Amino acid sequence: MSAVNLVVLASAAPAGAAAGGSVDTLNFAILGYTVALGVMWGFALWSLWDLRRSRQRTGQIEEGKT
Amino acid sequence: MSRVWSQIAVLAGKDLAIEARTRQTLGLVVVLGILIIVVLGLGLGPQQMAPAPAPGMGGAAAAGATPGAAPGAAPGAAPGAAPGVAALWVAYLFAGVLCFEGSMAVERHDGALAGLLLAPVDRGVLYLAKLVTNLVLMLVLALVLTPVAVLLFGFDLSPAPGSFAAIMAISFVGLAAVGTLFAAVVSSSRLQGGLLAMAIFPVSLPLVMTSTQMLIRLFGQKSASGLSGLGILLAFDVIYLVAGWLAFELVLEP
Amino acid sequence: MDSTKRLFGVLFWVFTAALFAGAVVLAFAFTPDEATMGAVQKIFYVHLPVAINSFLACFVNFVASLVFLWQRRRTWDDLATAAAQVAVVLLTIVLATGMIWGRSAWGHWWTWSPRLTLSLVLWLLYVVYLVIRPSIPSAQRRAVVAAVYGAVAFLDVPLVYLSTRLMPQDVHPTEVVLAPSMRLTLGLWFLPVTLLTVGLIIVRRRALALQSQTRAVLAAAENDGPVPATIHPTGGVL
Repeated sequence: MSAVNLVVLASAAPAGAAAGGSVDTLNFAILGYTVALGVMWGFALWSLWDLRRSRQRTGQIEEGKT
Repeated sequence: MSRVWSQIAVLAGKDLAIEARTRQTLGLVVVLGILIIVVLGLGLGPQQMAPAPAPGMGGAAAAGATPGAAPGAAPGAAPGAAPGVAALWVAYLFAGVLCFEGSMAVERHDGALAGLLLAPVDRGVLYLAKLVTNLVLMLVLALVLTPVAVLLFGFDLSPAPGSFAAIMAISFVGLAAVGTLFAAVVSSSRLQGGLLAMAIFPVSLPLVMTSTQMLIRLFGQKSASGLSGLGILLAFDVIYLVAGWLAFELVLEP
Repeated sequence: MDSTKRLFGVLFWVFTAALFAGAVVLAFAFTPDEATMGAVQKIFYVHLPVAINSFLACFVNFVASLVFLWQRRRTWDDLATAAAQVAVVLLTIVLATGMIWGRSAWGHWWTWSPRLTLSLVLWLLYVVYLVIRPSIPSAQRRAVVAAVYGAVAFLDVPLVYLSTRLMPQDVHPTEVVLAPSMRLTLGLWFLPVTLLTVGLIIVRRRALALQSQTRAVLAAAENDGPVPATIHPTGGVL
């Protein structure tokens, strides 16, 4: 998966693609970044919350045991 | 070495004798396969069989061959090849999963598996014996389903029947190698049938992609380049035969 | 000791978040728009590092599965699960960004091109890994079966890659040169994405370890003793 080929893949677009209108492509770029960062950081925040919850749960059980 | 062969023959013979007497797996599987082919034939509609390439045909197995999405495909592709091959593969996959499940289900009755595990046989041999059983079942399945698909999809095998049989035989070895391994998991846990299909399908996608591409080139474009994927099919077979042989013992448990 | 660790964790996540913010600024303000595709090419800076890191997560899953089969320690099973979860999240992002880019550049959300197909099949393989796990009730069996599946799934990757290359391809020109600023931005994007991937795998592994520990303690308490009732001689040592 080399960087060069990926760029080439996209630049070899069929003529039907909307290559004009830079505002339009900027919107797609913003959409892409929103999705990527949203999913990544959404998962990260959920993971941190889940870790915190698991820690508390384990702590409660340890206390109950002793 | 000959000892291993005779052990495999005894174990597979036992399974096939049970199957020959009860016909509980094959009867079900063959009818299901025919149903799948008929449903796909009706779903794709008669338009697919017409000479003009039909755009927008759905389905993972067939879409690679859709001329609209693939400028590389030859324009003179035979009309029946792509949908016929796709339908055959879908039928083989679903019916194959039921074969693997059925041949392991035999061992679940009356603690048969525990007895089998007590037998002085290497667990790898158990795997190979089940594999042979599954291959025989799939061979019978293919002998029924292939003519049905050929008839219903008007897909002409005559240009290269030998290559078709060879490609399918090599693919079946790989499919059965994966299927036999995961069926052992099912026999000993609550992993149900739908989940067995879920485990087998994604892993066997390279087989499906390679052999459909090979068959479409072989029959659609009438060119000899159809055999270029043979190495991938053989690599798949070798990798999963070794992996299954090694891992069968780990996943098998009464 | 515990508080230093926690401080390190907080610093790590703040640092990663700051790097991400800087990387986004770099991608949008520093690099020029690509000549034919326009601004949508900027997706590339996040798409490629995430794709490489998703392979990394799959590889971690593979190694952890093999080590589990060898050593039978539960910690390796937790690591494999964590890596599979992170891999699915990253592959989802790869697919989503790739589709958005494709819609803008090619006019289609999806084409069966080899790379797209490879990402899709990888995604399916690891989604199935996560779906199979909860369907096996015994913890030992689940770990063994998942480890076997994880190893088998990763062995599939090169085969999928080779088989996708048999599919009909679009004709590509062979060379394209990235502008220096683009190359710099791409290189810098690898840092935060890799940090995030490693951090996520560690956090998920820790949470999964705590959860399975909790479950084991609760199960033992229910059975009035430290030994679970379902231990089988061939079930492996856990």
